[in-house]
Amino acid sequence: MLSKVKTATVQGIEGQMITVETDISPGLPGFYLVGQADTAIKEAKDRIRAALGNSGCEYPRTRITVNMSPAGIRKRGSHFDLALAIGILASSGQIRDDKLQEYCFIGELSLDGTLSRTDGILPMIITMRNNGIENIIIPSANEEEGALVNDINIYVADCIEQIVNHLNYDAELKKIRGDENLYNERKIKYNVDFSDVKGQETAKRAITICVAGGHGLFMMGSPSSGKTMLAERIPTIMPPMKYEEILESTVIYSISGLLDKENPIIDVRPFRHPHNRITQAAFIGGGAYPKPGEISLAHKGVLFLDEFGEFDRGVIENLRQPLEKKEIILNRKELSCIYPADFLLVAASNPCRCGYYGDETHNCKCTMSQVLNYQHKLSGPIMDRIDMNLFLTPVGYAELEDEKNTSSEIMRKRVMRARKIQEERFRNEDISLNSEMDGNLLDLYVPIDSPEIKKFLSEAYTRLKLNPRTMQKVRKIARTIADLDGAEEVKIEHFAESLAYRGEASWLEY
Amino acid sequence: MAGVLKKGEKLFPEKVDIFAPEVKEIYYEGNLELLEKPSLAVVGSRKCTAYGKKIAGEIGKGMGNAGAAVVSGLARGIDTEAHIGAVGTEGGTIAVVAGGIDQFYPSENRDLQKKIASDGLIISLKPQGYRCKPYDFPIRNRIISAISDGVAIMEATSRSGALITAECAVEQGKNVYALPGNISSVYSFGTNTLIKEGATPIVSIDDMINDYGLSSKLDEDKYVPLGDGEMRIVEVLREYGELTIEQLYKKTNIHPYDLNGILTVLEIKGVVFSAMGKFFVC
Repeated sequence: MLSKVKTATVQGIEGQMITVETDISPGLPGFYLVGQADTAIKEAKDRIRAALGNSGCEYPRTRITVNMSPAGIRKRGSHFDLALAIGILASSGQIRDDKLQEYCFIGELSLDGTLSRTDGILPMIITMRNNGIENIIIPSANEEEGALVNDINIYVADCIEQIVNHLNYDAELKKIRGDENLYNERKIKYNVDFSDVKGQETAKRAITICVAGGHGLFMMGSPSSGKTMLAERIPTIMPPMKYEEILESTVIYSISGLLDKENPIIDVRPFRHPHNRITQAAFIGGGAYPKPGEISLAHKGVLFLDEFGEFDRGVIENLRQPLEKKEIILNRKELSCIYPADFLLVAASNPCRCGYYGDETHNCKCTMSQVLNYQHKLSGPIMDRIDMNLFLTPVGYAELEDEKNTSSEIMRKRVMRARKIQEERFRNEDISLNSEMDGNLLDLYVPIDSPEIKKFLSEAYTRLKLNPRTMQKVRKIARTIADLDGAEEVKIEHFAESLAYRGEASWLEY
Repeated sequence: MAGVLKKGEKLFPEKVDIFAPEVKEIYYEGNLELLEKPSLAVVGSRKCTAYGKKIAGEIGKGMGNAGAAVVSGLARGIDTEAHIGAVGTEGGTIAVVAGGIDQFYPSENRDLQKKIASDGLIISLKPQGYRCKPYDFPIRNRIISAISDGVAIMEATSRSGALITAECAVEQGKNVYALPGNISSVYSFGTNTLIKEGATPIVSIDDMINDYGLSSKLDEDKYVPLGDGEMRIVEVLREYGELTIEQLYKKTNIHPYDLNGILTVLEIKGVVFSAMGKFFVC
């Protein structure tokens, strides 16, 4: 008898519907699997045999032929176990197949018949819903992840026995329905807070600006000046994630196999902190079957590159496309996939190899040419795409004892206010943040027409040795500062403050 | 004008004859008359602080304006600043380089070296095309001191080449000035030690100008009107010398929102400057 069972596989970041056709016919006992299946699927035979036996079902002792269609796609992963098992049960008449076409099945089987956690379930469920499937059965370990998708019935099962009972109308499985309102306006608790950072009030101000306008940030400072500590706390002042953002981020983590019992979904803005020896594939994503890299894992969160100068040049150059397009396209022999990569770039570096050039209390051991070499590595096309520069100095003991520290909550409120103004402003544009403005929008929203501002900026241009590119950055940042201020027009004081973050050139002259 | 002077020739500098008699020939480019002027060598480490650079520039400019030739070695750091301060002034500047006069070391000083060649004087003991080696620098330092009437050391760590120049100056019986610095700063260790051993501390540039029997000529008055907040910041900076922005926030109580803006305006007005996260009064 022939049965057809629906399931799915993951290609790139999207799911792809797969039909498992099982035919049981007279002949010598054997299991024949066709349709470009990889080793994990071919091994399913033995898992299914044991699982069915241990669940009170029968493994047919006859010829079993399975075809996975469409046959043109390579299929990988152990989550096909359940669909294969259901196919065998349906073909051998052990379950009723009147409603089978309304269901989809995902799950890996254990020898005792229980269902194990499966990676990549989220994009598959989304694809199933979009293909008009009404019911899905998934392992109960994936419950929270599955519940992210709305408009579809999700049944969670612990073992294959429960599924058989459900399909035979003996006992109903636990049903969940996704509700996106649960995720919007959720209060998130962070383990860290900006009030942990003593002193550094000016740095906190700069970080508020950078988050408010989505400006990339570069921090330079000697060891223990607080670069990493500040960076780690940046996600705490970003606006809480919206439902769509949670969904996008969780999909990436789902296919990367980075979700587990403790973190079933990504509802906290990611903070990624890759080491500087990272390879290109791990950074932007890659492999014969592409997996998302760090830049995609940082989607909707913060990508922190500590020791920026120590990163491989080629690796860093890859940041260009994602910084502009907010996604990365990976082309491989069999498929090309697009991974989202919309992150806030935060880079940090010591001022020199030993770290103490310009430090008051430590002795720098580098020669002048070593210092210059080290700092030259920090220039280049990527630095041009980082809007804000910040120089950090270690805090003194007096500041450590200081009680008055701006907390994340206050900073986040400021950020949210400025974000709201930007949302209004760019309602009819296809951008959402000040940092994304191009030349035309800059002229529209940051005009330089009053004579005072013209005079001020022209003086600044020559005195501070600016170039056209820094000028653009300064205008973008000034717009954000004005938004934080609640000011309609960008005033001189906003430009003056934004000039303080131009960085680089003035440090190298030390 | 470029050329070579052989020992015994009429134009061969007398000071070199006296203080470094082993030197047989000198290659030069520029105006040889500068050698006749009263002269001061301004030297110091390649790696130095903003303070050292700033004073080197001011001494270069002050002495140059007063009519003395400022001599230095065209190296990175202090030397460069001294040359930049003095080039184009009445006294002019003399660069003693370790390689041939057509070699540019360090390469970022290419433009400065060309400017000195046309406006001041460049001299070397090596023929054109010669690339300097580390062992060429001590003799270069000796020549710097030889052709100068006094030597001012700006900043030097304990092993700096500038101390070699100071030693030569003492042997040759020249005036040795040293710029005092914080005793906690490694960059001032060498100069403070020199003062302990008898060098004249540089308390004001006018003192040096007076020592040379010259009179100081001020730049045209640079009065800049300042607002209240600006005044407050400048006062605090004058009092403490150098402060980070965090320290300025603590001392002035001007909120970071405004502080950064005011400091930028002061930078544009040319009243303060910043380096490696610290602010200084110009």
